[in-house]
Amino acid sequence: MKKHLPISILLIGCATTLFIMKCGPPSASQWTDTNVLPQILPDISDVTIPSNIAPLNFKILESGENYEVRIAGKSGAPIRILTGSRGIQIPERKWKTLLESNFGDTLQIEIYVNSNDSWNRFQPFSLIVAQEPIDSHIVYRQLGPVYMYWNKIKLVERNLTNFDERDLMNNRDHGTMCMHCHAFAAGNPERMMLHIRRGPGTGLLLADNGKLKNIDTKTDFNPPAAMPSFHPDGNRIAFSVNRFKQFFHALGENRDVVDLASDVILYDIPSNTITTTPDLAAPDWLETWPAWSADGKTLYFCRTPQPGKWNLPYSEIMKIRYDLAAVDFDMATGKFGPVRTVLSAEETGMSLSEPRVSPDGRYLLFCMAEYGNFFTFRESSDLYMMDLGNGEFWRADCSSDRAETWHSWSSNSKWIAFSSKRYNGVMTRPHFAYVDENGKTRKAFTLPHEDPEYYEVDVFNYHLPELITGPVPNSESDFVKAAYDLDNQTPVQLDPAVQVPENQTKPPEMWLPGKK
Amino acid sequence: MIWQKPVQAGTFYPIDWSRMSDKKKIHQLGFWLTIAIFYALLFFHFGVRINPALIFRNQEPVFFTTLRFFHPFAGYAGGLSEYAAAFLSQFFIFRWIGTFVLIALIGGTQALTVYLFSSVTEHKSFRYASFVPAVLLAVMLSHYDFPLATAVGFLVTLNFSGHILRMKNWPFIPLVPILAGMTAFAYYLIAGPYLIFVAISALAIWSARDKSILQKGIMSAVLIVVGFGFPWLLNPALGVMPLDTSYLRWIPRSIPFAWPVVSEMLIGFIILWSVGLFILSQLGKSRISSFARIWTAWPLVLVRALAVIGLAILILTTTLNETAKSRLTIRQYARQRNWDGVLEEIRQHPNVDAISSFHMHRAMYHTGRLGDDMFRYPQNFGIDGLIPLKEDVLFYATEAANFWFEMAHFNEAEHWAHEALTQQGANPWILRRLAEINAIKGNRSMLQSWTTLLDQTLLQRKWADPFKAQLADPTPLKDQPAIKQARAQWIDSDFLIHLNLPEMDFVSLYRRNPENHMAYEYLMAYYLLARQVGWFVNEIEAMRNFPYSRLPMHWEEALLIYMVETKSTDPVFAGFPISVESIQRFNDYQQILTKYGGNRKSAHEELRRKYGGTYWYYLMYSKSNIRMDTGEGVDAFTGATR
Repeated sequence: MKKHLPISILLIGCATTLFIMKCGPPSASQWTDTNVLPQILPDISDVTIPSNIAPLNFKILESGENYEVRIAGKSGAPIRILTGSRGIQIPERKWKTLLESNFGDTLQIEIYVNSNDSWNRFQPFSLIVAQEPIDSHIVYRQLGPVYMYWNKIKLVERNLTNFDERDLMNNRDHGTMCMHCHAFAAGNPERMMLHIRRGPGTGLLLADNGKLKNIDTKTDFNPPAAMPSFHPDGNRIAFSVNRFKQFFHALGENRDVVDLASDVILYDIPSNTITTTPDLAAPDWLETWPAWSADGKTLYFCRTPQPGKWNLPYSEIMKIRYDLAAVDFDMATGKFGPVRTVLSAEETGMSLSEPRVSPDGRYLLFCMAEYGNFFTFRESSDLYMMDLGNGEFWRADCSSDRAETWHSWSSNSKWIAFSSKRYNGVMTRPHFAYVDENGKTRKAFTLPHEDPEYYEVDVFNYHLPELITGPVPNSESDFVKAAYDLDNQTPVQLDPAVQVPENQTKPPEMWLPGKK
Repeated sequence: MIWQKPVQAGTFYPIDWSRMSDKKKIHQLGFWLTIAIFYALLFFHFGVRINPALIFRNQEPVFFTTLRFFHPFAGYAGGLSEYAAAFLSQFFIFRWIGTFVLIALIGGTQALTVYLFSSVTEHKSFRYASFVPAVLLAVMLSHYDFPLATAVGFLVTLNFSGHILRMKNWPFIPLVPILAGMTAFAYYLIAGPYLIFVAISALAIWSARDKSILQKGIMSAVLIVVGFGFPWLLNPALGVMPLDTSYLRWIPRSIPFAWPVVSEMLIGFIILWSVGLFILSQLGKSRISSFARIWTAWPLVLVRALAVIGLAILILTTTLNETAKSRLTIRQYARQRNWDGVLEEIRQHPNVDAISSFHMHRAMYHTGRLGDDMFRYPQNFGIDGLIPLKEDVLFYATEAANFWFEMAHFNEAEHWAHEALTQQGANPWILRRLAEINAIKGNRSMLQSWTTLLDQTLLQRKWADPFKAQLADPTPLKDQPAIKQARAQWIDSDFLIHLNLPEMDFVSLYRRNPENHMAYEYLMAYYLLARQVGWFVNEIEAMRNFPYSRLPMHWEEALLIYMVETKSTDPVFAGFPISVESIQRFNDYQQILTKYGGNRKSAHEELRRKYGGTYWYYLMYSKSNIRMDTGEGVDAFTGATR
């Protein structure tokens, strides 16, 4: 008897489990229609999704005892989830099959909530499955509330087709360095760069043929490089060099930033040389946010007249509005043409920043807000699309009434990723929106997570969700080693043609490491 | 014969008193009596003197009951010991339960040290030595900065080491993978302290019976290769970062701890003592027995017992950092809004730092004593003690958030609560404050997030209840009565926060809301500290907006100065006359000065004795910081003026 005891216990356990599963919440067979959309987090109602996206798990915010979710398309086996929990986890394999069976079509989602022994059915909503897939991965920077001091920061690579993620760098493992502004050449995961600062590993990490190099971008002319844009050929990076000052409001969004000095420079990777031109680094202009066109023949950037002093009163800061400008670039000679204004702040009545050109060269996506150029702290910041063929521009429908920034394009030009504060006005979340053939965007969806309640308790910011076509080949160890390999850090050379102004005065720097 | 029977390695036998000789019974009694006295003293030390609630106040480890919180800890070496320490630390908020946890950790370390020693020597004859790590750990835990994760790491490494020693005589084939697995697992569990385990185990293998030199060599090599190689696989920074920030993660050297020598002594003691005992064990039983005979001789036993008790008393008398305790007590009272407690603690320990001074002013405001008492207490920091600069307040960001919240400066309160969240993690106090701020700001989504997190804490989940009620109420947040009342204090027009001159925010807040009493009192206190009697007098009429029944004493002192300087004869301000008593005291103050021929230096001692707690004395003798050229009165960046 004793010998069989464990087997008996196991069998009884299995039988009990099966019984409990069988006797789970009863399915909705009769219900009352509420005719209102269910409150769910994140909001996925009527969004357009790529066919290769991971399940859009969500939390039902309606109160009840049991919940049933039915997801069905015109073809393929429908998914039915019956649960006592508000968190809805969609089975991954069934989701994939359903999406693959409904390319270019719609899925309908019905939510039933059982309360006091009666079922209510909420108004069904749709998911539109686009024909075009999204790039398989994104890389974003995850950090806490961005104020004066930072602590934990990590650069994360997330597979969009499932829930896999890994740290490309996590400062838990190597001190409290700050890392920021990663960029890829045309979404190529093998050609990337990342800035590291405020620590022994300060420098630019550049992936070159699978190896990471540490480059010191500081020269007599410029401080370390900041906002990057990889040339499509992967051999040049245009940077802005900035002196930001952070300040705070007593009412409304409390964070704000003013750029006190900035220029645009060009880093030529093969020759390891930094150069610029008087048009990109004019003493009486602030130039920032460079962005290459898809063919690499035009460099877009934002600029505004230099206000002329460091200590600007707020009344002056509020007047700073950036134009969208451009210069032609001769790839053979490396020479820039004269600057021209593409879209002026005078015309729009707003300030413009973060231009990004679609890989097919048709559209330019940018942000506009009432002033300044650092829009993650400006609630009024929205995404705008410009047709580069005729210069027309319009507000992207995927924008919300809160800040949208840090956008990037999928390699097929059909999807954009961006950070949005639409849920709470404080934390940025990665969002994705479909771009149709006319450059119109559709309602965006939030980066899905395996844990359906993730966004309710997540208090991190997600900056710069850069879409890439596959996983980054380098490991975290590669990045850390490159960051700390200061013996082999390569200082860039300054193009002798660039004149270094004498007696450059520097405004104070603001952000500091906050580790005790 | 004292040692009748060598014990099996690592085995505790129950005490069989009936078979003991009288001498041994006395030995046993003496040992347990020593234990009882030692731990009673430690209990008193931690419970009464150290107070674990203050350790918690200093470190405030974050802990949530969810798997979501647990997952990251499982993802890196040493994470699990940090998780365990974060869990145990939560109980420190209860002074006596926290004391019990600390005593249990020290007792566990001692018991495992006995276990380890007996495993090495196959004798339990050297158990008094186990008091040494207990004493050293007690010293370390007496420090308010010492991270509990390190103590947990020690405990685990001793436990693992004991087990390895117990298994050393197992057959060679299964033992090798077990050794490798345990080494890797130890590193994963506790990171840094596993090196002690590797060292002890590699040594102990050589005392294994029935194994050839080659087998012992292989086992040692496995231990060393896995022990030093495994971290290379797990830690991306290894070999790149300096050792103290990568390889030896959580070894006390790598942590911000004021007494690293003590932790080194502890590690060193365990390893050296084990080595010593191992050498002894190799000498043969007869030599050990003869050494044990000397070691356990009566006079030596007595000396050891007295030494243990002496060490415990030494801990009691020397390890408490009174200054740190006092400062933490002030912060604790301030959190509890025990304002009388804050002032009493400062009265008893006037050697305050700027943050204590900051709480002192808060306490005076909340007890209605700021205008009467602020110069009766230490004013060594001037404006820095009224409102510290951002660099000084960073590590007290929660307190800064609380302060600005009290002043209805909700954006700045949110700013500092977010800084606190970044620096210290989501502890329940920060979460509660953020929930309150977002309720007032009407941000339902953020209120939901903070409430949910608060509801997932271990011991403070009830704090979420009022916020759940607010969320469940269909009335818009801003229209709910309690929130509406708080919002009434809020400004209705924006200004730029004066980061480098936070006192300027008093001006901006008061200008926008003349009913903000706290901003007004702080503004007046700032003018007094800045020695700007003229600015102070400019605002005195606004007293009429608040329920004052008389002029506060220091205000009268400032007004008397003003009258002298302006040759004014009207002693009535804002409808209140300066008291006769103040006028008499001022006359007396001036007479003393006159008596010394106007020589401030000569008059100093007498004035200090009679009038050291007055604004006159502060003006004349204090050298405290006033932070800026007060003549400008303008924040150059914002253009704001007084």
